Amino acid sequence: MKKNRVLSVPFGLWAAIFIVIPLLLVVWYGVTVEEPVAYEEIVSADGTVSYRLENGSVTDEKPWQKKVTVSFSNFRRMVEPTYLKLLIRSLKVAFITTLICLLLGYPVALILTGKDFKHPSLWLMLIILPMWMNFLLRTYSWMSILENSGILNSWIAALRDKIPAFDGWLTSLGVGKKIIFLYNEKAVILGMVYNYLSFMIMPIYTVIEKTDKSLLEAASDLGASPVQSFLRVTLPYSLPGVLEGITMVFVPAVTTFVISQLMGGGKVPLIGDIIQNQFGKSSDWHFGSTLSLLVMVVVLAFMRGLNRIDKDDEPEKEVRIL
Amino acid sequence: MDNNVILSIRDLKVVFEDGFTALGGVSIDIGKNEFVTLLGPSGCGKTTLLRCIGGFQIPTGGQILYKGEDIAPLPPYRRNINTVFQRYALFPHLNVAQNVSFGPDLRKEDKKKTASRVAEMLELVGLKGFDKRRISSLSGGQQQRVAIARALINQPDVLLLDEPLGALDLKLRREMQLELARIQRESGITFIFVTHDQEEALTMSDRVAVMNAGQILQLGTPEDIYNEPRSAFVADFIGASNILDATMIRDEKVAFLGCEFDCVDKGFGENNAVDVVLRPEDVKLKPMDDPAQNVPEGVVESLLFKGVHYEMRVRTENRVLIVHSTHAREIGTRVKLTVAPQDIQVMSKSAESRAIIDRQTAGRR
Amino acid sequence: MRKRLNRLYIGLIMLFLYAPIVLLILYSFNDSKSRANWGGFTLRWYKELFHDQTILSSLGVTLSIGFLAALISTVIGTVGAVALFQMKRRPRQTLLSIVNLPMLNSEVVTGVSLMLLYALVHLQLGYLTLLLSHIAFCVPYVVLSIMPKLRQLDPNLAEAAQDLGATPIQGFFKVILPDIMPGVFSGFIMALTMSIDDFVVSFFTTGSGVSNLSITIYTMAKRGISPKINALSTIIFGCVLLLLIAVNLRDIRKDGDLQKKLEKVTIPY
Repeated sequence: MKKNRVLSVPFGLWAAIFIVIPLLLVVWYGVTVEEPVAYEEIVSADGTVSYRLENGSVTDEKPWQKKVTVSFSNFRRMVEPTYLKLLIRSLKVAFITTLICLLLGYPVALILTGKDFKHPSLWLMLIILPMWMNFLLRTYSWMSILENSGILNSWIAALRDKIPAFDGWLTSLGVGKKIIFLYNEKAVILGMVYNYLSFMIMPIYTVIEKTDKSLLEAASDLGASPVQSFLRVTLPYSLPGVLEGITMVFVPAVTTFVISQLMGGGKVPLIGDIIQNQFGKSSDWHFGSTLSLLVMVVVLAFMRGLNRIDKDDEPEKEVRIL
Repeated sequence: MDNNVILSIRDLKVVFEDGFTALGGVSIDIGKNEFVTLLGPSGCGKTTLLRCIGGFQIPTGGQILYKGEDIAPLPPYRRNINTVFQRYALFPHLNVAQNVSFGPDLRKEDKKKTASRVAEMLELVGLKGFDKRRISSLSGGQQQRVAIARALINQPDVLLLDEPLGALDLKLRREMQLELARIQRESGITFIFVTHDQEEALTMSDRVAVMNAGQILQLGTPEDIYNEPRSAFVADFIGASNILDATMIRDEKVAFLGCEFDCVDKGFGENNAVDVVLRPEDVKLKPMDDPAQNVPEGVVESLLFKGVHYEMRVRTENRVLIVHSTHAREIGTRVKLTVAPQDIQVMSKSAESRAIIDRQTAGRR
Repeated sequence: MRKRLNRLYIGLIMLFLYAPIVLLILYSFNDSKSRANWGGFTLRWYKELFHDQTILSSLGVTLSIGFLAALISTVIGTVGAVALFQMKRRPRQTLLSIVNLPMLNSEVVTGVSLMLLYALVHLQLGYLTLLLSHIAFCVPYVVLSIMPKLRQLDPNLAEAAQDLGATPIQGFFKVILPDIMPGVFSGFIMALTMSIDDFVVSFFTTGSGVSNLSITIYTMAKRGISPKINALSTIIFGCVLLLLIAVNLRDIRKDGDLQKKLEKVTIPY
């Protein structure tokens, strides 16, 4: 029987190389810093300059090497108010996004699993369809509507030209000729809700759809009103879907840097932006890794909190496949 | 070695990695064209034994001699033995004919020949004209037949059947029992059949092996097993309802229910504790004015009409007995109980006796 | 009344989801320099799009990476799912939670961690690293979509094949694989989608001028809006729509039949 498990070796190896080692590298970079090698400049009598390193060796070239030391200074740097504020803002934005997605998405799932639509799967597909477009394009579409010289502003301008009363009303409200929709937190949240709403709807729909309809019939048979049977049957049964939806929205929302850069125009930096920065412009991989570790811990802790029940529905029995 | 023996299992042991002993040294010889049933409760090792023969389980000790050669280490695809699985394990993406021709196709046999063999097999199992049907469109009984055809087309010397009727309803079960017996007769293939249903085992088989806890407790013809169970466990498992504590006074004399009885059994020593089995139809109820002396007396407690006979519960001093008779007696009637010497089956005490007798006693308070 | 409200609500959600896309498509035909005003119908942006080498080559990268990554991750994922399924409970749970990590982790962490891996082995960032990374984050989704199929498998299926004379390898290809094919296929599609949609991991793991569509759009969008992107969106949306209709037309028809059947069965009078 042992030979049936021979496949797990190459696969385990693959998982080690592409999942475990990279994550360990993040941890290693996170707990280390890089410093220039210390040296002493020696100017000899004839004016040539040589350099003595810590270990006593002397070279003519200026030492360029850097040395890596274990240090937790990046953790101290991480809890500086600048970065802490960013983390808190990221969590806040992600939380609001998740909440809005849940409030908008749950009714969609509920209505589509009800009897009011003949082809619920068709409607669900229409909801998923925009997700098949590129993530960047989805975000971009809102930019082109909301930007200062965008579609919405030009429509409002046209309306103002045609209807003086509307113009007067807006002016009296103190609204300028160009309304700035983008480059604030609300715009970032809008972008996130638009991108992630389907992630909330899908798992909830799947769970409610799978719920035995006779449970609802039984509930109403036992005298439950529609509201009661929703609260006592549908809602508790849909909870796993809700939890999955929350995870699928919250995790990407808390770490994105695309939406904050495009919709927020760099004015609403989130923790993801800072990480991206450390691996790009600032080029401090060590601090970037420390922040990645932070994100990883926050996300994993969040998930742990959500699914405290660790379920394994796989067969206890061994089943032969090969 | 007996020429007629096709499969000889010698001291077969299976100990799982977690230390559980599934087979504790089983030996059995199975003859050509024989219908042998492995009977026992779940977990008794019957399926493990079958899986060893099929090659799905490598035994940790012992031998499986197939025509004199030890096949224990061979993989399933190198044995001329086929299996009908409990849940059939038909290939869902293939139709009926493709399922049946799976074996011949693997061996790259001539297509035309295979096609006619498939038709032949489907006819044998009573599924003529089902060739192109999808597996999912078949009923449980039909799937069962396809599984049998799929195995038989390979002309195995031995066919293993792992509780193949377990998923069928009662009526279909009966039907398939007869079907299987017929197919076995017509094909002349050795059948090894696993079941936990004693009635099924007794109806269909040439020989029955009753198993418990990784051991074969008794091997014999259905009549042997039914009439002369060798232990309380076997008696209980094949449905004996009156198993009693008894004392063997001497050869051909046994005492139970407070009285001494003549019997035909010998060799249990003197004044030894034994078990006896009384079949419900062998216990005779006599009126109180019957001349019989020194026999137990009791009161009829309940009366059920069972078609060909009545089932009565008779309370004696320390035990309620189940009695079958074509002659009904009113509830509350006082009766004498008699048993003919040849109808008393004496068995040695075994580890399970106590629990079984206690259960039977407790169930009828 | 309730029905009308429900329909209104779904309508509003659809409006929210599709308004930007419809506008995008509309304005891709807009002949105006100031993009917001309507200046008449034109195909100019499409022409320009097809002459933009940057966009075209990144489209090529997206598609080739998408298909290669989907194909390879489907193979690795299938092998992995089978391997996982045959393992003992403890090691299986451990390996499974490791494999699930990329799905739980945020993309940023996955991207960063892979970038550090390539730096460690001095692999020049480029097409190869991009492909390897896409495979890495697609495999878990393939495993995820195949595992349930393996669980539904008749436990004796492989044994039955071997019983009938198939070697384990023959049995796998003749019996097991056809049976789990729907899971393998949906894993492939999922991997393809994930790969084509990805931006974050690609951003960290590509280099040497190799950029996929996401990265190109990102760079363009940061510079400002170009009607060429509108045209590109329109084409992509059209393709996706056609693809989905093609894939699902069959299913919907089946669905309809099923509903009819169910009606026949459930209505007793």
